[in-house]
Amino acid sequence: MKLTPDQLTDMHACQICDLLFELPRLSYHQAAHCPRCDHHITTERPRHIEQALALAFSGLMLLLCSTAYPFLGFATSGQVESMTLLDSATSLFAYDQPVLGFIVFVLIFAGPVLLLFWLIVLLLLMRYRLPAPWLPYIARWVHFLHSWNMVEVFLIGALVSVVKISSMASIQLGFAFWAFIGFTLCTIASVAMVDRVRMWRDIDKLMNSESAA
Amino acid sequence: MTNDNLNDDDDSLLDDAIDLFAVENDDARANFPPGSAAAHGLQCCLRCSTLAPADETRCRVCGKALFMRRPQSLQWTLAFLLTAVVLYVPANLLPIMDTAEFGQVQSNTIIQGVILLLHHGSYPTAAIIFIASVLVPVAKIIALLWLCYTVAQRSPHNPHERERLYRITEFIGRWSMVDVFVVALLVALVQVTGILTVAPGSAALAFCGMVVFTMLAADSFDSRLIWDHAYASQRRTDNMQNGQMNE
Repeated sequence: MKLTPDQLTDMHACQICDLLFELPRLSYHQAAHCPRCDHHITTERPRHIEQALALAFSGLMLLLCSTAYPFLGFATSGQVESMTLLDSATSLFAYDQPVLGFIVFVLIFAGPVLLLFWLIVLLLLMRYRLPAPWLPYIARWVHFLHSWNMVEVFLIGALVSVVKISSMASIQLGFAFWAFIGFTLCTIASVAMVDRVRMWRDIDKLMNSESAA
Repeated sequence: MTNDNLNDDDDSLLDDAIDLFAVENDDARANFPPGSAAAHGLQCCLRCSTLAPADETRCRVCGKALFMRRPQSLQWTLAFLLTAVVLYVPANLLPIMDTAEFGQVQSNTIIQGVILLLHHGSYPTAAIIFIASVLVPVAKIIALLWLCYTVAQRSPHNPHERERLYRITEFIGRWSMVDVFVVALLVALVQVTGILTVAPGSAALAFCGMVVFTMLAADSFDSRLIWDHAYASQRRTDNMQNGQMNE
């Protein structure tokens, strides 16, 4: 059986089980799942670009704010110490673990900042329908950074370390701690709002509309 | 159905191990199950899900290399898994954190840390660390090894369950990083000079590497192979039954 290019645009292959099927037109808040393996394919959301943009922007602001304020404070025997978010990466350099320090820096700061920044650029280009030739490259970057995003794991790690240390000393949760929680929630919500299948279909349409015009 | 290559002279253990996981590509290609995109001569881009004819090498939308099935998927997965297994040993035997209190240095491995937490009575935290750092990596490695084995053996059984196992494996992989972040945070936080300091142990980097390599292993496993063999084998058994009847 051969399919014509016109038929192809409505067809979809599941990435998990390779079943070929026709992707139905979805109305708002409907989700499509693979008929064979039940893998979630796409969800139709109203105004998803605007919502994702707002969340990504707040997330980026909160993350940049949280680097300037103390993250956790630690008081024992009359001495009070506090650390910022980036100290968790830089102090590993001081203990002669540069590779680990670099990985932690990328995972908790550089990665999320780049992810949110490029996501904002991508969403702005799509919101105002500007088919820049480098748009697919940005989308690739967002896709890659999203798959290695670990901010929620870091948040759980922060909670575990608070519990671990609270038996030795009193812990103060700094402003940056709360900002980081807000950042994590915004980031998760924002990237969840951007549906991969839908995003790439929109990009394809946008890029082709430019070449047709 | 037999894929036994009888090599009389060099039947080394390594060859057996490779044979165990070997997939004959040509044979597999001829057996794409009906209903799949591959059986229609279409390649699905793993990044953007765009469909392309079999002769195209790059996705026209996102530029990713196209293939019917990930090339050498099982070999890559096994290579990454092997690396993870090798790193698992130092990650668990070496200390992950050196705590110095009043000049007394105490080195703790992951397991010792969990036991210490149990003594302090913080059971939920102990459970989180134990599950994320000890159980999940082992479960993940075993699950992926088993998935590779069943795919290489072209098992037709339980594709739904195996595929769910794969997706769980893919999802929980990143959560093992919790321990690395805990070490990073404690090192930065506890620096009361002379009284109490925490230094990162040599296991931290090995552990971090192990998590990254299991994530790469899960990433390079092509889950579509599970379904290929599930349906292809069904057809093969049908053929075999017909053949036996003829005999």
